Order: sequence, then structure tokens, then C-alpha cells
Amino acid sequence: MSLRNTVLLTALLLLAGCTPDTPASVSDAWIRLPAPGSTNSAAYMTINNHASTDLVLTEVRSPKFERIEIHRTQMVAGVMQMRMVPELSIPPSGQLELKPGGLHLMLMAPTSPIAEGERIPLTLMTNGEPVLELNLTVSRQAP
Amino acid sequence: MNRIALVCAAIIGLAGGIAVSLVNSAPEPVVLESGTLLDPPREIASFTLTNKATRFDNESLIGQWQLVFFGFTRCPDICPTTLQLLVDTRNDLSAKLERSQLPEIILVSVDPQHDTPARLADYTEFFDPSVRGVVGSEEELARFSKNLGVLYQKIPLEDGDYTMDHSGAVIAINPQGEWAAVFSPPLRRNALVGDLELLLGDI
Repeated sequence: MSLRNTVLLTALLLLAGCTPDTPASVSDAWIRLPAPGSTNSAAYMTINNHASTDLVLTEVRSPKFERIEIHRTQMVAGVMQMRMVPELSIPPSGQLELKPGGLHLMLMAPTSPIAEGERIPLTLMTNGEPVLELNLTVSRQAP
Repeated sequence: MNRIALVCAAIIGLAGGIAVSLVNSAPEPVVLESGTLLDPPREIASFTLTNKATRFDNESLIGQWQLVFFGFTRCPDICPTTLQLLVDTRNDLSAKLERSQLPEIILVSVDPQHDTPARLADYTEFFDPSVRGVVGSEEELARFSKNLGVLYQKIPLEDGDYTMDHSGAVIAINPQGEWAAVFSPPLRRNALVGDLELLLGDI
């Protein structure tokens, strides 16, 4: 195989997100456009773990937000509570859904105003090491 | 012969009884799939809150159905999700009901410390200009929510900030200003549209 073909094939595999080395991927990801007056926003996605071991995510970073926390909205005796969750754990070959009314990433203190359609970089990390680099689009509703 | 006459009389009597009971029985009550009907609707005790710069009280509830949700603007997940669901539900209903039967949507803020009437107005406008944001003093908010069986609580966070726990229910208030039904989460658009079409189209 020529070098050019190898590069092409690698690029294609990377694009498809299915190289054997890819430990995880993300689908259906989006950031909610916050309404005026609200400084907080939320990110939603499905995280797929392709590895044969648990994928544990402990931290999320973005240059756009001063603080990002993993949160869960839960109903206890009819009352909605939002609580911080220390980590996300995805079983081998499993997936975890972050969706409205459930698990989500709470995005706090944006460094600049958030615009509809804007693409915002987000890094999912495990113990200080980046696992997934994402670019999420800001929209009013789930795409 | 006598026996046949007796049996006939019994059958006629029974049929007549059934017919009378059918005529006398109350109209079939509306059965909600995703909510609970208050039968009879419950009166709402006197309250005074604020919408933008104007007084919002019992009189403000009269004349149209109202869907009331309690939340706060710094809530990033369930509040925008529910408000958007209510706006979408209202849009779906506009194809099924008369304009006068459509509900108004009200967000009551449980965070008066942060949510000024002006801030709340900016927030609700984003979802639909018809959505009304309502807030008031701690005392009046407590009174109004208690009236509707709604709970909320300020929860201090480690960093000195706080979050609010609050009921996720949507309260339906009838055009007479009475508490008529409550819809509890998880709220689903199709079920809510179906229930509200029955409830609101029933007047």
C-alpha cells in the first residue's frame, strides 16, 4: 500500500471513528442555548465506550466556561433536585445517555456570550488526561 | 301465564330502572392519562405577586386556562426543558382548540433573591412572548405555592452559592381561577396534549 493510500485509509478510519484504538466516541451531542438572564447552560450527549474496560470520566473542561460540573436532575417525592455527580462511568462496550431531565454537564460562567449555532470545544477527561475532544453546537432544542 | 307476565314485568322494571339510572347519572368525568383532576376544582387563596411591573393576583388568573410551572432562571436543565415543552404543547393545541380555549403559560420563580421581575421577563420572552414570568416576596411565594401543593427549598452549596429544589409539577388553573388539575413529571408532550385537549376543550 502506498503512503498516500495509507494516509487516506487512516483518515477515513479516523473520520468514521472506528479505529481499534478509539476508546470512546460521542453522538447526539449539543449545548442548550441559555435564555437571556440565565448564565448557566447544559450539554447533552450519548457517550459510547468501545473498550473492554470501564470508561470513567471525572472532569470536563472548555476554554468557554470557567466551571463545568457533572450533574443529575432527579425527582425525589415529586421534587426536582439537581445534584453534582463525582464521575460518569460507562461499562465496556456500553453507552451512557446525558439528556434533558437526567444526567447533564452543567456549564457555568461563560467567558463570552453564547450564540445560537456557535461551536464550543469541550474536553472529557479522566484523572487529568484528555479522553475525548469534542466540538458541540449550541442550539435551542435537541437537534 | 301468570309466571310469564311476572317475568315480563320484572324485565320491563329492570330495563326502566337502568334507563332512569342512566339519565340521572352525572356526565362522565374527564379521565387524564398523565395528570390528576381535582374534582371539584379547588379555590386558590388570595395572593399578590408581580408580573413585569404589574400586580399579579387571583384576578390575573380569570378568563383563560393557565399552566403554571415553578422554577428559576439559573436552572439549566429541567426549567428550560419544561418551559419549551409547554410552549410546544400550546402550539400543538392551537391546531385542535379554539384560540379562546388555549392555555397561558406562567413561570413562577422560586428564587426571588436572583430573579427580579425584569430578569424574569427577559428569560420568559426567549421561549415565547406570551409566557408570563411571575415573582414576589418570599412570603407571598410561599403562600401561593403552598396553596397549589408545590414545594421548593433553597439548598446551600459548598462554594457559598445555592441551588433550588422545586416541584416539577405543572398546575392547570381553570378560567374561573381555580386549581383544576396537576401534571407530574416525567411530562410527555403527546400525553400532555391529549389530556389538555380533553380538559380545555370540555368548557
